[in-house]
Amino acid sequence: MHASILIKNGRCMTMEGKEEKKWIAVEQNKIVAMGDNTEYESLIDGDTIVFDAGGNTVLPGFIDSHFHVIQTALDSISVDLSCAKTYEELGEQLREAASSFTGGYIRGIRISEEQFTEGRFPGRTLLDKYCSDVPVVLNSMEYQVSILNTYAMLYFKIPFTAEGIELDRKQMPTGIFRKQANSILRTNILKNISDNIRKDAVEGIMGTLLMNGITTINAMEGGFMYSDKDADFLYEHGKEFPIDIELFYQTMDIEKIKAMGLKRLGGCLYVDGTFGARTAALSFQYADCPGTMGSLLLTQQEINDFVLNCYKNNLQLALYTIGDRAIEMAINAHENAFYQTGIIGLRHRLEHAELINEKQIQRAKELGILLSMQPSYETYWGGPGKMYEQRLGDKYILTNPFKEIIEKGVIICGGSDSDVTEPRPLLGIHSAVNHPVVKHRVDIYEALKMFTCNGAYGIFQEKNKGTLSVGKTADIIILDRDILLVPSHQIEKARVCVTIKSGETLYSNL
Amino acid sequence: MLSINFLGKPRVEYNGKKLEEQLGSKAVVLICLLVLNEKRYMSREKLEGYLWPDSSTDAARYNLRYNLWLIKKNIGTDHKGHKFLHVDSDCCSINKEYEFECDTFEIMSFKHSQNDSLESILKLKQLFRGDLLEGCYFKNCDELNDLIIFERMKYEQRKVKILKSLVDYYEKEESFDNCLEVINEILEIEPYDEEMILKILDIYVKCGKPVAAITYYNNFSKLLTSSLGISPSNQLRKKYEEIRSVLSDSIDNNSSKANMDTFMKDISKQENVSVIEIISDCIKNVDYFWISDVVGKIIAAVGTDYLNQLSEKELLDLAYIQCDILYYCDDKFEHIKDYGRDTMSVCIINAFIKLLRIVCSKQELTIIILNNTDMDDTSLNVLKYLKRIKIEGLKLIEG
Repeated sequence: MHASILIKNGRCMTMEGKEEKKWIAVEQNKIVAMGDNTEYESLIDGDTIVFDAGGNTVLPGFIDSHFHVIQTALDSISVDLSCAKTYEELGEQLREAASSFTGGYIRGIRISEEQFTEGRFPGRTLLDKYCSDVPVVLNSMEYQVSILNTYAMLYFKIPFTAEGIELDRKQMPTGIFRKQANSILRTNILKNISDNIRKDAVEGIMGTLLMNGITTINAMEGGFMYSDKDADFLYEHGKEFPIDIELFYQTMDIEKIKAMGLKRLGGCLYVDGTFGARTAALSFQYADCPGTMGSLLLTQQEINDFVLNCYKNNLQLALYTIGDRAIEMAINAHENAFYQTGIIGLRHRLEHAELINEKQIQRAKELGILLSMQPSYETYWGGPGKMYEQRLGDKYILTNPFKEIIEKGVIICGGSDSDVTEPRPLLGIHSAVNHPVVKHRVDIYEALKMFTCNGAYGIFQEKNKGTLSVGKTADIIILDRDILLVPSHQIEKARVCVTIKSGETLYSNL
Repeated sequence: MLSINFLGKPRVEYNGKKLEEQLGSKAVVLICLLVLNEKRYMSREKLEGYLWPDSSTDAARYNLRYNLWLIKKNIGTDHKGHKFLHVDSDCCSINKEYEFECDTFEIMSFKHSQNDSLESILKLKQLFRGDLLEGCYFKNCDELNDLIIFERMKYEQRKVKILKSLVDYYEKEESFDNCLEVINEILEIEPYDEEMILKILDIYVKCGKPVAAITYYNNFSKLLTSSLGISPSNQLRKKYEEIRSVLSDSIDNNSSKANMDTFMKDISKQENVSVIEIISDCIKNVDYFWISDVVGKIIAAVGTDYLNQLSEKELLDLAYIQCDILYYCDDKFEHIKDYGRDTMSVCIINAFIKLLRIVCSKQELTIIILNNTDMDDTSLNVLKYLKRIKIEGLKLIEG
């Protein structure tokens, strides 16, 4: 037997029953041997690439279970404006972008009203001051608002009669679009993005993903606030990229999914909204907006019908639920569908499920529902003084109860929700171990499972990936330290040194 | 003959000859400004401000003079010998006597009335080839760009209005195919216009196509969910339910009655209409406790469907004593500011009894009451009342 790649002196965590090995041999795209001593020597010849892990952690390639590929890719060719504190700072960033402008339009992202000392979004005349010779389109953090400069107002087809166009005192559009107007405008703009642009942009983010050890992503594409063209593009071209892309088409059109031969649907298939916009459906009132409890986007009957239809068609379904009222409704629908069909084993998922309660965890367990969660939300928004506390008051301590979920036997698949947070599994792992609410913290091994074997289970790939054993696809990463010995508060400082995807070394700084 | 189109990519044609290239974009937009202001003279100063705001006064004056000359040179007299422009040392305008065709001019001079002929409305509709001055943007000409945006808004609104008048016309004439075609044009501009969706459903029903109406509604509902994350309005949902019930009645009354009978039997089996049994408990001196316990357990046992038959007010009244109601209600409670108000006892009790009646109209309900000697006073009185009125299907067992 011969090895094309050999990793030695590693602390190779197989992610199977906490078993560890010292070395792994790879030939072609598979793991062909593993061991504890030095039996590997016979596998090495002049062609073998040998990595000395130096006693550091070796893991299966990370699986990011909730990822918006096209949005992340387009963001990578956009101007991130989240750090601008004033209009002046925003304007300077746009001016700089305009100086290296190559065509099309400038796309600015990640702005919110709160970030500006002025306390509101800039309008088109203000944008014109900094950038008047190129169309500029800005998007708010969650894409609920678009802002155009005057050039863009004349460049794109504007839905002038739709609801949601902000007008000034002279009844002139300010360039700020919300609601229907925003949706129609975004559709008009996104449909003009060519597949070549998509392809270049997606290729552009591959390096970052591999540098972060990601070898598989669950691509949540199409539908509300996105574009079906994104999903169609990945359906057509997903296999042309170096990492594995598992498509979750965000549509309720079951016939379309069947016709495409897909086995799953959903992702951000919204049952409710977000905490940020106070639209996540809660069973109590928002602490910072009494009288508001969020809203559900579907009635119980509608969701029952849809979920039942998915069961009957043997489709794996991933539903977007954040508030406990939305989670309740989704679980009700699954119970109804299960009672009516008796079908189990489709590994249905609830995406986010940030405010799941104890009873709901138990019911999810009984139904075999998996939770696709984003631990890094806790780093961004969890704990005292942050967004969860602002919105939920004292109840912020209820969010993302990882430990309770795992103890009840429910599987958590970890994801970044990139482009909402950065695609860095080690940050997600750090966040799960360092949850701001101590009782929700999990140990490092459970956190690693979220991004490896659990991720594989969530897409029916546990026989091929997610663990290290002979015969599995050689998706392997080497870290720059022994993750089990790192103090918990320093986990996020760990870096990936080597990423091997299907037996090819696609990233290495060893 | 001069013919001008400002909607879509601008076109200027004199005696069959295209003039856009000779004129250039500033001269074309100068004509557009004069047409938009056809009822009044425009001062040279104003025009210079629109077109060359960042040039020196002399340069702007020269530019205007040159472009006016360019227009005069290319656009000759009409068949009566009138010149196109009136120009003097201060002002400019289109010569009101000059005969020419212009899309925006025709659209804005059209006054809609009940007696409009179909031909006149169709002719207007055809004039909308695109946005006003499509593809035009004038760097640093803020006032001009604003004017174009403003005018585009105006013409878009005008277009929708004209299309809607066409819809009304075809509807009156019962020319449903044409009507649908125009509605679809409106929906291309305003894809979420529920007034038009209602019309489509109506038309399908009038044409004897209720199944098509239901399919259309379902597709629209999916579009709303996928694009805006919302459900159709109550009015639209009501319409949909009406169509569904009419369809179901017609199936029932027709030849497939036998199939329907079998189907209904199957449904009955699925719904498991047998007895629901709940075990309730009591706590002394805690007002409404037994009633609250029963409400909570009914919801847990039968789900949410029955709750939809209660009004928002009744749900709120019950939520006052049983917060589990909140789990099961969707946007009904959104923005309700007075949740937690002091509800009248009679309202809570009436809502409770109505809930029992609704459940018992579909299923048999047995309530086992544990520790009844600890029952609070209000619940005790309600229990006595329930025993008196004897709701069909309700069985109360005290233990």
